[in-house]
Amino acid sequence: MIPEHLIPLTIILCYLALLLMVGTLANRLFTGGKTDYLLASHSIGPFLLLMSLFGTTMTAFALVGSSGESFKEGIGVYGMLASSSGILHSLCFFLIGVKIWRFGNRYGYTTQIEFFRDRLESRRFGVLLFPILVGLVIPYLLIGVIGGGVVMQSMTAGSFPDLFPTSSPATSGGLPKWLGSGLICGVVLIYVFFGGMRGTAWANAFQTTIFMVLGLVAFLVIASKLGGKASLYENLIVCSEALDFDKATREGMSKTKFLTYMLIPLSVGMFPHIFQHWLTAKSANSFKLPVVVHPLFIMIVWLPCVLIGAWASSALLVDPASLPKIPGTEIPNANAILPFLVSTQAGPVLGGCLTAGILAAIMSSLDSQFLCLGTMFTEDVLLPMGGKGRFSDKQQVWAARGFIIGIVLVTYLIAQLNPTSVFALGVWCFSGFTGLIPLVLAALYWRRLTKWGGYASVLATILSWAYLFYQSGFGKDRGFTVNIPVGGETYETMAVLWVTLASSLALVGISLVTRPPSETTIRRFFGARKAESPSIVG
Amino acid sequence: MSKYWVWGLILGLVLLHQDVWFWTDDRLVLGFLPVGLFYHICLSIGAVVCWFLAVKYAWPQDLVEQTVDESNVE
Repeated sequence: MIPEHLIPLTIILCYLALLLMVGTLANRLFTGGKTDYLLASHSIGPFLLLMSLFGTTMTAFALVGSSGESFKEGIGVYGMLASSSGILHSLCFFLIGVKIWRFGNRYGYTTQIEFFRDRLESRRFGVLLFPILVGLVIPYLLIGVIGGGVVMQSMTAGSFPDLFPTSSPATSGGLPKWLGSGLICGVVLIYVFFGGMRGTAWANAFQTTIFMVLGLVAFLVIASKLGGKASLYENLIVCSEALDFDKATREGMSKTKFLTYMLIPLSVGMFPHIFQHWLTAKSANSFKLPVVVHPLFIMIVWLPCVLIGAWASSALLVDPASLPKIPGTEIPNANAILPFLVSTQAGPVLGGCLTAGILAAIMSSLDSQFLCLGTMFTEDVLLPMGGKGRFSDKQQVWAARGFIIGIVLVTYLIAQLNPTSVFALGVWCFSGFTGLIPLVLAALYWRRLTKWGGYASVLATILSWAYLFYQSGFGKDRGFTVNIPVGGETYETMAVLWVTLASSLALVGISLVTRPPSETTIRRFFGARKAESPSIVG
Repeated sequence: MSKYWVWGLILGLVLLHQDVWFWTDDRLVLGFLPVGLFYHICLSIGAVVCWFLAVKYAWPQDLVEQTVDESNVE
C-alpha cells in the first residue's frame, strides 16, 4: 500500500514511464533516415495532426495560467486568449499551413529558412533569421522547463519532508525544482531522441488526450464541491452568483488592449515547431480536421479553467487567507490557484492525475520545440556550411540529436538561475513571432515581395521589438502597453501592434523600391501568370 | 456557397469578437454563465461552423486537383 503523501509522486512517475513507452514504441517504426526522423516520412494523418498541433500550441499556460489569469482579470480572459485563438490559429493553419505543406512536399523543405531562402533568392537569409528564431524559441522553452519544476515541487509537497525541506509549507518536502525540471527534460529528451517526429506526434496525441480529459475531470470535481450544494448544477449557480462584478464582466479591461491582443495568436503561423508539424502531414486533406476542430478543443480546455479561476477570486467561495501566496508577500499566487483547488477539493489521487495532465501540456510543447531546433541546426547551419553531399542521413540525424542535447542542457542550466521574469517573456516571444507574420504571408501571397523587402521586414521586427522590450524594463513591467493619447483620452495598445506595423511597412516599402524576384522564382511559387496559363490560352 | 461568403463569415467572426456591448453586463445565462463568457463560447462554436464551411467551400481548388492526380498515379 502506498502512503497517502506519496500518491501524487507515484502517479506522476507512472505517467512519465508510460510516456517513455509510447515514445520508444514509435522507435520500432523508425527507418533510420533523416526524413523519417525529422518529418515522420510525411505520414501523419488528420487525427494525429490535430492532436500534435493542438498539444504543441497549448502549453502549461492553458491549464495553470488560464485559471491564474482569470483569478486576476475575470472571465474576459477567455475572449482575450481563447476565442481569438480559436479563430486565428485555424486561419494560420488554413492560409499558411496548407500552402507551406504543398511547397515542402514539392521542394523537400524541412525548415522555414529553407523556404525563405528559395522564395527570397538569398542564400544568406538564414544568417539573419536563424538566431532570431532560436532566440525567440529559447525563452518559450524556459517557460516549460521552469513551469514543470514549479508544478512538480508544489504537487509533491510533503513527499520527502526530511530530504527536501523548504521555508514554505506549500513546497516543503516536494521534489526540488532542479530535480523536477531535470526529470521532465530527461523524459522528453529520451522520447524525442529515440522516437523522432513520429514519437513526438504519438506522445503529443497521448498527452493531449490526457490533459483534456483530466482538465474536465478536475473541473467537475471542483465544481461539485465548491458551492457546498448537493447537485452540480446548483453548485454552478451558487459559484457564479458569488462572482464579484469586475470578475463577471470586463470592467477593468481596456477595450483597445483587448482589440490589439488579438494579434498575439497569429504568432502560431511563424512558430518553427508548428512549421515542422505542418510538413509531417500525409496530404493537404490532413489539415481539414485540425482547421475545424481546433477552436472546439481550445474551448474544452479553457472554459473550465477560466470559470474555476474566476470562482476562486470570490471571498464567498474561497477564504482569501487560505490561498497560496507568492513567497515573502501576502499576494495570492495566481499560478498556484488550480493546484491549490485540486489539492483542497479533490485529494491526492486526482491531484497526482492533474499534475500529470499539466506536465503533459508542458511536455507536448517541449518535445516539438526540441526537435525543431535540432532540425534547424542540421538544415540551416550544418548542411549549408558543410555542403549537401558531405554528411550521410545517419550523420545528420546524430547531429540533430547532438544539438538537441546541447540546447536541453543550456535551457536546463539557465532555468537553474531561476530567472523570475521568464513567464512575462511569453507574450514578448509571441509578439516577435507575430511581427514575422507579414513576411510569411507576403512570401506566400504577394509576388512583388523582394529579397530586400524580406530583410527589411525581419530587421524592422527585431529593432522595434527590442526597443519596446527595453521600454518595458526587459519584460519586468508585465502590464506594459503603448499608450496613445487621442482627444484627451488615452488608449492602451499591445506592443505587438507596433512591431507588426513596423514589419509590414518595411516589407511593403522596401519591396516596392527594389528589383522584383526573378520570373523563375515567381513561376516556382505562384505558377504561370494567367496570360501564360495553358488552361486559359489553350 | 461561394468562398467569398465563407471568408466574409470569418471576417464577421473577427469583428464580432470585439463585443463592446457586453463589456459591463453581469447577467448570468442558464443561471451560471456570465453573458460575456457565454457570448465568447458561442463565438468559439461559430468558429467551428465557419471553418467547417471554409474547408467545404473555400478549400484551394488546385489542392483538390493535386490529390486527384496523386490518386490516379497510384
